[in-house]
Amino acid sequence: MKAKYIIGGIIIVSFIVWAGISFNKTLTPYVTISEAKTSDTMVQVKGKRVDNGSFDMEQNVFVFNMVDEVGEQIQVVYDGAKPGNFEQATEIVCIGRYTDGKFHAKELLVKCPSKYMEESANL
Amino acid sequence: MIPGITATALTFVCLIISIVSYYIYYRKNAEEPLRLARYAFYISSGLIFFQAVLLLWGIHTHQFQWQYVFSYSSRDLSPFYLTTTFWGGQEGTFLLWLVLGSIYGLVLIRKKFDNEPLIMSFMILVMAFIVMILVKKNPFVYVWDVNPGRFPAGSVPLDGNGLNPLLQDPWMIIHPPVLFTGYSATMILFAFAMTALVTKNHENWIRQVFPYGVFVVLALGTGIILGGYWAYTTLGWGGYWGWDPVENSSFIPWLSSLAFMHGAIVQRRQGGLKRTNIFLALLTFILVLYGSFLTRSGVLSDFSVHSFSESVLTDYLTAFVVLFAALSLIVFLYGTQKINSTRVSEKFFTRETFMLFGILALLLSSVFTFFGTSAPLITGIFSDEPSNVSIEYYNRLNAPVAILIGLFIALSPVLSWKRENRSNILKYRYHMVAAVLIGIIGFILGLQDPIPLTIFILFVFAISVNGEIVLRLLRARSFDFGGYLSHVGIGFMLIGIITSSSYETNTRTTLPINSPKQVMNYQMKYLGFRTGADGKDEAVIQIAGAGSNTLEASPKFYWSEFNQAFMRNPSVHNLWVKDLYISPIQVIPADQGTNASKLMIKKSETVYFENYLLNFEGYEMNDHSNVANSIEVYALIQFRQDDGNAFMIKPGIRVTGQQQQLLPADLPGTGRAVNIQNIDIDNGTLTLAIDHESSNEKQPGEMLAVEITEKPLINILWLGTIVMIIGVSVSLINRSRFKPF
Repeated sequence: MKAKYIIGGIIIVSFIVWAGISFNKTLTPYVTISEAKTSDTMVQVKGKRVDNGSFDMEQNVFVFNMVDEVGEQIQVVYDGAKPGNFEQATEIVCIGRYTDGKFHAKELLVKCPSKYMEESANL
Repeated sequence: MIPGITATALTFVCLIISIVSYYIYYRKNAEEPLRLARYAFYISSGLIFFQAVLLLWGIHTHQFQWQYVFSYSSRDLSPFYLTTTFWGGQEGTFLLWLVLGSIYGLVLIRKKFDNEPLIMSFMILVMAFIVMILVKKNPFVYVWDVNPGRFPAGSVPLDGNGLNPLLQDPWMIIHPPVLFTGYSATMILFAFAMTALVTKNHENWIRQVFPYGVFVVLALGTGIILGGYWAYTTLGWGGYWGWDPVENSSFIPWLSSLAFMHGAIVQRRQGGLKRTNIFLALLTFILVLYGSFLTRSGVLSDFSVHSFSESVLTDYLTAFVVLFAALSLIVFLYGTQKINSTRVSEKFFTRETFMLFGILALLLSSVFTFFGTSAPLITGIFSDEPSNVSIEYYNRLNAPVAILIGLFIALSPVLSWKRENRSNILKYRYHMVAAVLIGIIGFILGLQDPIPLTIFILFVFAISVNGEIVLRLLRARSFDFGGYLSHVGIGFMLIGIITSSSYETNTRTTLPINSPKQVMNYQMKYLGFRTGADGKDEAVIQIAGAGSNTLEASPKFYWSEFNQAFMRNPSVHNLWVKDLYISPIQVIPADQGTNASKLMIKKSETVYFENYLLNFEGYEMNDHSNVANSIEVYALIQFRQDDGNAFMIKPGIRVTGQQQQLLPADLPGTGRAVNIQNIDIDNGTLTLAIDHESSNEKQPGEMLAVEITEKPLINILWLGTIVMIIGVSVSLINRSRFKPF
């Protein structure tokens, strides 16, 4: 065997292993709010907002409450700016981790009724 | 009959005539069908250009009866942004794709390649599919055909929906066309690779296709970089790159086009990699299709902030990708059966071996970025609730790739083709020593994490090696330095990425209005809001401590009718050694609750307040405010003092979209402010907030929450992008003009 193939093989195999580990480790599963409360890893939850949220000036975070389909409620603390279309949101997706009785979101995706949907609803 | 739609349909017919004639010519080799095929293609190109011009004309002259013009433009847009409307929606981007495709087709016909019928047939096949998309979703369709409930037939809407304000940005006039130039140029790689497979001539094509391969690398690379500038200065994600599906879908084919370009060089020099190169050319094209499927079909709408929303085209695009992937794979398996393969040299310390490793690293990055981006689709197969990977996945994966690529672009140029010459490496030992020394300086300055430090040292080494070769070639008046120069550029880019992202510092804080606050090493003073030159509201922050002059930051924070959302644009300040990046988070209005008395009053009612007698006389409206699209409402209140002295004050409120701004009035002679706290129309009551008599305590006024980030040495990244683009351009010119491959 030539050195070239050995080294190439090592690169490929170790990369695939590393990628597999990374994939599993960084995968954020979609869970319900009650599952999120018992999970200790990064997860993704979906729900409707209960209030318009408020900005916590002490900690510089955005805080709001969210409820899912089965009525389970959770307080979400988002380490960033209030999404611009928060008031119009029909659904919110939060990616983060549940600790100390709150869901600490790293990312928020806000879904709004888009113009297209409005138009097709008229059809 | 609508001219635009008719043109679309005719384009399809002409493309079919062209492809059939090319087939007859291919079979019979007669002159007649060749001429017919070419003319049919010329006519279809003419029709495509006509549609593009028609659409541009429609946008500029506000033909709001057309669905596309209605959906993506409005009367208040400047001609500049009206032009960007062309690629503001899906139909426009497909039309742009076609315009570029026909330009490439015309160029290829002019070159009179021996395999013209095959090459052009594959080009036309792709174009015909895109025309079919336009038949399904046509920009010229009338609004009343799409939405008869809202628009009676024949009634032209007075104004359109307008263009997404995020797209109203100078970068947007150039970023999408450049990116699409690259996307559609991958069609050429597809056409040449398929032709090589059908003719079973796996050698000649690589010489013909090489300049187009470099062109794809250049256009996609430049497009990605321009997108990065746009994200950095306008989107305000805090960075130039967020591993978003939309970004990844152009990055993945760029990596595979890079792998292809390097593979083509090895094949030219060595004869090897015949199968691999055909595979890479096809892969690049399929990845572009896959990317446009991911970002336009709505499959990722649960996972991305800015993928296109759900679309009628999902099934169609899926079929498009699957069909072309299957066709490529079948023809590939069939066409490479009896390949006359040449082995790439068995020796280890040769340039080709190291280039092979480089190609491998690029491909690994491409493939695993692909898997990450497709995570919701992959996990969706195994469970009902698809999941996504976090950004961490991409960072973990691409760190080792960066190390490998740094190593290979530093060592490959040192080695010779075919001959093993280990001592060559030793000639560059001083470069390595210099890189390590610079690394030590970096370590002392704070670059102390092992992986970023390793990447830093390797790329300093790569820059010194490649840079020296560039200088040597320039001195010899050779024009072959393009590749080496682009490696220098990549080196600077990686170093800039390491310093600006791994070592950024950021803080979030609230700035009280009109009173300076120490933040990081700056003194910042928030001065309130104003309307910017582009009509968008912006906060004004005075910053001292950044160099000798006082800076004025003006991050934008405005209501967008189009998005029905508050939009934020950062304010970015280049301070040579670092960027100061200021993103607005939130405006916290002055709190009247604690330091002001509240007073509820009805119209025409008279109430006592301290030593005043107040009479609320009514409202005054002003919709001719100097702030666009806003209405001002003032309450007219008469204040009468005990001594009979009376005066009128008018506290107001300005409503712009969903944003409200208080317009306080002064209580004469006291310096106390009177604000409207609430207007209750149902009960006809007005609540006023009147500041307490001035105490020494400062009133908590309006505050602005901001995020402040310092990005060290980001200019090195920008420099690197420019050097890389110049490098690739030089090799493109060299390979197509001076020294054909």
